[in-house]
Amino acid sequence: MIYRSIQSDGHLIIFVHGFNGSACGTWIQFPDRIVGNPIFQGSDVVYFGYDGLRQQAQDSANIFYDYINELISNPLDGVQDFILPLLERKQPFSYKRITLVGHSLGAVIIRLAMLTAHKEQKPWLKLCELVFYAPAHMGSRITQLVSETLLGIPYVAGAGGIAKWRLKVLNDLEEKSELLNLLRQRTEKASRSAPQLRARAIVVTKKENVVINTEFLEDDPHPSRIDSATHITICKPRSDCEEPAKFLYANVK
Amino acid sequence: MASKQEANLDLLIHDYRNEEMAEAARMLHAVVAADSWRGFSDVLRHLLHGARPLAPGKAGSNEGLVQGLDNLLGFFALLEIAALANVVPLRLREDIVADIEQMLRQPVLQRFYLKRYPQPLLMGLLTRSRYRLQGRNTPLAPKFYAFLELKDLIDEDLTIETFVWLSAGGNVDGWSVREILEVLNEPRNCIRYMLEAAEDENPRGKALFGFFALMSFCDMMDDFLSGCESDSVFQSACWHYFNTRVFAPHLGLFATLSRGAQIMSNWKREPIPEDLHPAALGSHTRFLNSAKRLFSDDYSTAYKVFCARNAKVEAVKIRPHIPV
Repeated sequence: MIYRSIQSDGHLIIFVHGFNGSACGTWIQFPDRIVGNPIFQGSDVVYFGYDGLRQQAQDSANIFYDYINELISNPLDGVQDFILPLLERKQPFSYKRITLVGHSLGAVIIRLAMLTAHKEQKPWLKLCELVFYAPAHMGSRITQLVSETLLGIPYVAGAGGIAKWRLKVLNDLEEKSELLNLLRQRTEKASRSAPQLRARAIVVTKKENVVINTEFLEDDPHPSRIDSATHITICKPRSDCEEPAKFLYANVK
Repeated sequence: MASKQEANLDLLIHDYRNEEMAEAARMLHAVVAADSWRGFSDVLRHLLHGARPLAPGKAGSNEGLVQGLDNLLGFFALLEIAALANVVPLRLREDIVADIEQMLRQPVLQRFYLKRYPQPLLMGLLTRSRYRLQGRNTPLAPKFYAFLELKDLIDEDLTIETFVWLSAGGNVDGWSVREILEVLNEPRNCIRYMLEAAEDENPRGKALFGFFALMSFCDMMDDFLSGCESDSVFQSACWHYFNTRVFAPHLGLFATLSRGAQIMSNWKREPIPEDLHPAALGSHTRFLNSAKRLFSDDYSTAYKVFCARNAKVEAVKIRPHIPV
């Protein structure tokens, strides 16, 4: 789903969900808070979807990279003719700022795609900033991840073993997995010349049972906290807890 | 240049009205014109409820018609909510009005959605096509887009379709809803079947995924409706949309969900690893409470009252102009 601003200031925001999430479901509380909100008046907003259950993380990242690359190269592709005049965009239009927002596995997908952009020397990389909710970039406890995301309960003994055997992405998400080690080493190296690879903001919760909260890069920012949230609810503002939305507002302004 | 509201209308038509719906409308008109309606009464019973729903992909030669008509009525209901939210013009364009009138004024169709299985949003849209209904004072566009996200979520999740079908008495691979509820008693088995489904799409696991997706949907819908409290008419209209499209057609669905949620709330907590934060141990009574609220709070009245009141006011207004 893509929401295009009718008064774009060149800002693009892309939300990327996590393991067993979906473009609609993971971020369902956001459109309500973004449409009509002056903070996002000039922003195009995308809720990106991919198969976060069956695909390996690198495959999902490649799909995401292709998507973002295409969107940035042809920002108005796919816009219906009757909408174009309303968008009032001076041609040639291009994005000036890109905020990538990821939850859990979504953060890994974003980081992997950023590495590809760096390797390919994509000029748009300089425009990017990364905002993460409970990122899984340092790995996760697989049993808890599977229990939480499939059943919504924190722990079902033995769930991790059988799940890892069936779902390859869980091997990627395990603490100190080969993929995450490579991701960290390469990001660390590349971020020396591309500071955009460092996160702009990270939010975690002390009730975190799923992902490892250790810092990813030495110079990633000190994480914010929403301690009333769990790994699942940390990206879900509700009428009785607006903190997840406020975190985004603060980092998009 | 078209106004924003007109462009929104075109966009909704572009995104949500497809060729399948147009074909279904053509078929319906052809059936009515040829007076061969009797053969389609079963189709309508399946479509407009009261009969056991057809298995996904098992509607036979009428599948296109059933699906197309169902989706077309859903699209009309969506238009009514968009108009209510002022996202599209309050007074719909003539070609759209003609389309609505031509379809919804078919007596054979009206028998179902006005009398046997009343669908308030379709009645409201018909009223709108005749009278100029009031706009709302609250800014509702953001809520409308949240509503669309919820709608897309439930439409696009095929696992929910599988679960709904089972809970309406269907059967896959020898499994009925009884077996699904049985499996729910044991979280480890749930995970086992769901993981199998993730790998090979087996229908039992898909139905389990569907159960959890539907519980989660109820929770989101509950949260969405409580966020719409500032406009009870819009809130009520959205409730009618989901009730008509998701819950009402499938007798027993709510009862099954409640039983499932009850089973989950009784899950025994396993001994947990020491490093697990105890505060994170949520309770599934949340799902149970959400589902209960959706059907115990009186969301149904406000929209019906709004339509009735508006139609009445307009009828009184136009009376002096009737030539005598």
